[in-house]
Amino acid sequence: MSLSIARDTAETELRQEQAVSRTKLAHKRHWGEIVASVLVVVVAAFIIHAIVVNKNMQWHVVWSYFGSHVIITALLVTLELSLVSQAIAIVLGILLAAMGQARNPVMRTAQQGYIWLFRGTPLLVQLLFWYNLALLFPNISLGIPFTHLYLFQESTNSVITGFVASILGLALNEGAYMAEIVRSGILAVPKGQLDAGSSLGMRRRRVFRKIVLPQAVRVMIPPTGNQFIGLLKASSLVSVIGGGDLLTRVEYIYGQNFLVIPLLLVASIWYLVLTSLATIGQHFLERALDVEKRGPRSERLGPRWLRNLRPGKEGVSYG
Amino acid sequence: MADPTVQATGVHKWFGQTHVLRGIDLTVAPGQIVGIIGPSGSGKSTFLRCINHLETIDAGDILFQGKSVARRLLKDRPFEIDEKSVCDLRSRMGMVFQQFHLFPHLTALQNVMLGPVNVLKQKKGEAEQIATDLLKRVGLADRGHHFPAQLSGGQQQRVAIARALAMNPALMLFDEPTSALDPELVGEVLAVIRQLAETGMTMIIVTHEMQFVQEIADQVLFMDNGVVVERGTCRQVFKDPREARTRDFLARVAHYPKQEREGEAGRTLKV
Repeated sequence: MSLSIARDTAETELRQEQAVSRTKLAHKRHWGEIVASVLVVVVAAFIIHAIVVNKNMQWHVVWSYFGSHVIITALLVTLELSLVSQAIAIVLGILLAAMGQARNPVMRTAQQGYIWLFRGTPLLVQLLFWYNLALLFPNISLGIPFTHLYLFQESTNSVITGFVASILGLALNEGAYMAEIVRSGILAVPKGQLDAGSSLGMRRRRVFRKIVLPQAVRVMIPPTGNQFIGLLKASSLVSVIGGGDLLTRVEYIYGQNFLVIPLLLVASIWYLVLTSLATIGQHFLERALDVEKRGPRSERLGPRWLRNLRPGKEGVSYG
Repeated sequence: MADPTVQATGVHKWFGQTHVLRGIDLTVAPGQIVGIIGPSGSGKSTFLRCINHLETIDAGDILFQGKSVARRLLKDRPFEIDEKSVCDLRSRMGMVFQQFHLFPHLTALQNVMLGPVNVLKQKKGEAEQIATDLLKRVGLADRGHHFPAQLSGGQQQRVAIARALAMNPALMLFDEPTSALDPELVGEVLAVIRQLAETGMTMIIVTHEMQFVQEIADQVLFMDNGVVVERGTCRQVFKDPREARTRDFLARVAHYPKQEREGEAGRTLKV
């Protein structure tokens, strides 16, 4: 095939060109920059020194609690709260975004109303509402409306535990934000993609699933990662309703032994670990979905990830 | 006698206050190739999009193989056509867009397979075999596992043609298939369309490639301002135009150098 021959020649030429060594250009030094850098290093060293030698930090207490059973259990609760809430929020976000696109004005108004309410009130207030739901509805029942036929009836307080209230509060609030992220992701897909999909004879819903969503997801990853990191930290708010998360547990412990600072440090370090891990995860997810920069389809996420873990190999490093 | 592939009668279309199509008639017999030419904004692309219901029409009707693409009658009252019928009609027409609109998250092969697997319910293996053959036909046998972003414009458009052909259509619609291409890539796409013409495919081509239209079209429509100003065979419209507007338009586009590029295409692409 004459075309592919032309292509091969071009590739060979390109390779030859790359063999030529490039000249590395030196940068001119600026005195202001050097002075500022020295200043920053001195101030940082001062702060770090002040923290490390401060007896009130009680680092030995920090480390004794850091990996303790209580803390790890609480950490898992935080992780569970965040992951479950985020998962529910993503589903909710997709549903809400679909409602926002609907032709039916009732659907669109309901969607706008939801976002208005849940984005417009503080998360802390929402959490308190869910926790105190029993004051509003003493019983929760499932049955046929306006009749006395019930499939299920239970007192609100036994259903809405601290954990359930936490999930409800975090997920429903997060869902409002996810709806906007999903919407912007969908809007980012060019209209021509819809034309091309429908011209193949695919139904609207299938076009959405096969063509729009996969492309929208790529746009949605960075803001969703951001939201998730926010959620990891915001989950600490559930300590006010006894959500049983990391901060709840830490507050409980220092309420008894008054080792406030070391225990807050334990929590902070764990939050930093979680958010760092989330950042790394987000990075890999973005790379995996960035099909346009990827070579001919061969290397999948798995092998690439393993390759990046090996030391001394080219790739991303988080040094 | 079989139904004409396309029969449009008195098609009108408004975009808000703008009257973009003012009574278009067109009959395309099976196997015919129709070229639609005319200045930008004359409504030719809009008309093409009406044929597969990417745009609705406000008056008149378009029949595809004897069935309306615009409306259906329910107890003698006209209703907007339902989604299922639209999808059914579209699955038998292929469309090629000016901006290719390949799906960027799928490889060339997956782009071609998407329709057959999802709409025609072909088995993956069968669809892959057909898609591979089609890519070979458009000269891209070795590019099946590339993503659109890794292909040149001409290659992308050829994949788009293969994608449309994979549905085994009774009609191909080309909406300015070479207008977004670098001049040196136009030839390879035209070569594929030319080869398709030789197989007897029914086609409607909206294009600015006058030379190409003269070469392959059985019928030419010159559209301006939402109406068909002149129609006829290539000889009539290009060599002996009756209308002043047609003559003006042809004189204006005549300066565009096409000859050499056509020659080039013949040499570089053998499919």
